[in-house]
Amino acid sequence: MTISPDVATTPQSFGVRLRAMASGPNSFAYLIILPAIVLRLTYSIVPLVQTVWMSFTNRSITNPGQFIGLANYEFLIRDERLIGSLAFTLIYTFVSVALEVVLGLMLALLLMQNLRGRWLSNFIMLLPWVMAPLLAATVWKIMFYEDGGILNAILRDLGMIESPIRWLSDANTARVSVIVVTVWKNVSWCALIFMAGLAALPRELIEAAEVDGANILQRFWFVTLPMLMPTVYLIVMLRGMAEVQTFEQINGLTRGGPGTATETLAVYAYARFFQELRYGYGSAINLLLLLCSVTIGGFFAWRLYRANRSGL
Amino acid sequence: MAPVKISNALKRYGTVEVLKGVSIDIDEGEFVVLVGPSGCGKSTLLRMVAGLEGISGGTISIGDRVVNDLPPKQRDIAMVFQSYALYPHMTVAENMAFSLRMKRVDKKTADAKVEQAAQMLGLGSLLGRYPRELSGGQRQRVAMGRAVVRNPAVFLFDEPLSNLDAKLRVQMRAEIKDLHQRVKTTTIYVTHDQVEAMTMADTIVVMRDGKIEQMGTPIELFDNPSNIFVAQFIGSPSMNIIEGTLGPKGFVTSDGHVLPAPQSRAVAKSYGIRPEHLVPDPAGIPMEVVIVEPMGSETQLILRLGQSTLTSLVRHRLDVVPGTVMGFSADLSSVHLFDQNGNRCVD
Repeated sequence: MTISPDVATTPQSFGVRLRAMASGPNSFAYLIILPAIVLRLTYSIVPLVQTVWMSFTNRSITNPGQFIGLANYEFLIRDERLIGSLAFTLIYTFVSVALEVVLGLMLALLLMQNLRGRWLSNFIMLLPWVMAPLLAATVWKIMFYEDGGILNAILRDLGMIESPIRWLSDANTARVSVIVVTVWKNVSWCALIFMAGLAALPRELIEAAEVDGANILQRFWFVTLPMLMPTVYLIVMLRGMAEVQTFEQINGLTRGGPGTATETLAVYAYARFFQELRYGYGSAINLLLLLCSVTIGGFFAWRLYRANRSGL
Repeated sequence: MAPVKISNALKRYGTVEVLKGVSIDIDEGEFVVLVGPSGCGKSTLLRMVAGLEGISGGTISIGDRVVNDLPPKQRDIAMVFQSYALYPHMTVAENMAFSLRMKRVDKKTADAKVEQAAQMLGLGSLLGRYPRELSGGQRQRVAMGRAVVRNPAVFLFDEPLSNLDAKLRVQMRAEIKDLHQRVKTTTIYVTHDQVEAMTMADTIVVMRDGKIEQMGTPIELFDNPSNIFVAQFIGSPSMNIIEGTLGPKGFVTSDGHVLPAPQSRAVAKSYGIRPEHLVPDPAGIPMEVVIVEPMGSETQLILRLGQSTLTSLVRHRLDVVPGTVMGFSADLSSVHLFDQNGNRCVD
């Protein structure tokens, strides 16, 4: 038997490969997924290309737009409101994700115990997650009312405050409040994913650590947590990408206020794009937002990939 | 090393009783193998000794302490798991030193102990590797090293060779036995493989349905099985059992063949003969060869005698084709008789 190396090694052109796909045994399969591919490209790649293009123009509601090179990006660097919203977005994302991970893991560990009424607690726990973000924001906004809001009423009844806390109208408390709502909403999802991760851990490893003399904290710190790192990376990746793009909750709670205290990049981009109708500059902000999201997603996807490759 | 005393140990899960009063005395330095089919309770018993399962009744003592209520870390035991249970994020050295780290042994002493155990098990060059970078046999050795490094009173092995291929299993079997001969630590070893039990144990405990069927040295169990279950479980290929009745001329099978048998006052209903004791003999009982399985130095034959199917293990090469009718006989001293309950007939 002779083997011709040419057949295996000659690189084929895209056209040749395309023809091979069209005439090969899977041609029907390619044909039926073609509409999905076309739609996917149309609704993701095309808007992206359009946004990139618009970010190099001064297009607005009154101006069809001329190419202005990197002017929008130069303005980004000098735009103090943007710097402020970028800083808040990063702090908001970091604090929210950190709290979601820590509290989600604690909740998952608690719910993994064989407690009575576990199904009920799981159900109640998941309610915030299934609630629409705008609805959650509205519910909390009502609870945050300075006069008549339930939070201030409880604190006053407990004798913990004399005058009402300005939950959403003071810059510092508003920042904390929006983070609290975000964590409240998403912690149950994190707990759910952690529960799946914990359930997948080999029981023998924990038992081996127990036999090796590790107490419950040492078992968690030296065995459970390192083994759970792929789950942590997955959660940080998905939540990080989501939090950095947060719009609905912030818009529903504070609209970025008071002033610009809780303005995230997404809220700012919305203001520039849809309220001021500055499509060119709004596109540049959107691309900055995309860069943040892709950076977070890419970094933790890489960590997740490495962790999976290392056999964890 | 320490003796282990298991007295009337019970284990219940709700209303289901999985261990029904098991008692075993294990001497200091003894190698005891718990063997039995899946679900017989052998692993549960081992886990009760380890402290990974609670004890529903009875007592378990290690040394002079009753350990029923002690957590695993206070029992002075080390365990090797079926899946090895190596920490994947730690190197071999870190895996082996983990228990010492938990005991807050100073690093210098811990390193020396790990080095010593690594040398003993031939792991010296692997200390910096991660478990994923090791072969199955190497992982097994690391799991043993992790146990050895602690110098525990008792070693517990839970089917440690199940995940290895046949060749490696034979090699690791010898290594575990060699390790035991060197360190002389009391060992309880669980397996469902009777060959492992026979080759490694000082004492074999055969279990079924949460009870001990028989306990003794490998040779005692092989030569004098107390019932049909043990007779068929111990020995490979397993013992031939033929139903029938013991009469004055011998054992009459249910389809009328007469097999030579020792006389017994007991009412024997089953006739047992090990395949290696059923040997070709032109003057013996004619049987039809159904299947010939040449194994190099030995030949295994599947034979038909009336309605019964028997196995013969001939200790040499045999040039025979299926369908041949050959005579076979057995020495009377190697025949086992069992009563209607499957228990050994005792005169």
